[in-house]
Amino acid sequence: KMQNFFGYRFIRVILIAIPVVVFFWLLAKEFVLTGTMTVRYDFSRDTPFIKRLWPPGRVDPIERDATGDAFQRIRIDPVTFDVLLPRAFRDATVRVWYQKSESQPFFVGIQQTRAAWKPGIVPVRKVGTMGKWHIGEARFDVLSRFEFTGNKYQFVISAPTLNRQVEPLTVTAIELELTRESFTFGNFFPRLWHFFFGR
Amino acid sequence: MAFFLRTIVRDIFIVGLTTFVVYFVADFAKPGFVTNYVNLNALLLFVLVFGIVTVLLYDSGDSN
Repeated sequence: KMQNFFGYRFIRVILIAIPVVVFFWLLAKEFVLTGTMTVRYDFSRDTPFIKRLWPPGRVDPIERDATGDAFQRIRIDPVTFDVLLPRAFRDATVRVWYQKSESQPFFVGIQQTRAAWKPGIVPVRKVGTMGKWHIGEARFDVLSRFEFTGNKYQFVISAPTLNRQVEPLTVTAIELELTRESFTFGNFFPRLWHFFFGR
Repeated sequence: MAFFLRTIVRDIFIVGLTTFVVYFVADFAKPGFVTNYVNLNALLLFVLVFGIVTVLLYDSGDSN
């Protein structure tokens, strides 16, 4: 009697479809089907993709301002942060929401291959403001030349004139927009083959 | 109506438990595949709640 009840069948189909749809959504996220992945860390809570600034001795504890925005002051440079990703990307745009003194130079870099001790750094270009925060951007092309071990890029924030006697570099958010070749009908099966059987 | 509700609750529990096991195995095989986006602890709590409700609503007459 239950099985003949159309409403029951419909509910059962929905119940089974939901986790299946979610699973395929997770697959799409894992393979970055659209070719673009954006990850953001606003210091209010830990995220699975962008890790905390390191080492802790060079930064102040995370604080909140009167508006509730979380931020962290960098006292000594350089500091690093790891970015864990499902796969390697072709290029990346790093955006940082920050405050600093006008004369203070500010760079972002990525740890290069193990043999190169110096990270590849790029000056942060101011592209806008949001309230009291400046928005800076740095772009990295050809990410393949950077170290991607353990599904991780190691980024560096560098402000060479920083020390405990000068105004700190304060950061409230870090966002990465990463791009790689998107899946199309033409490359879908060759890339799937390469994923399972490629080197 | 009560029978219908008991059946739906039981089905939700079964689908939820199966989903949790599949997602857990997938995340074990590829760390972060599920947990980067889905809170498995919340899913487990959900399954636990519906499991308890299923047991509480169980009527031996349903299986006849």
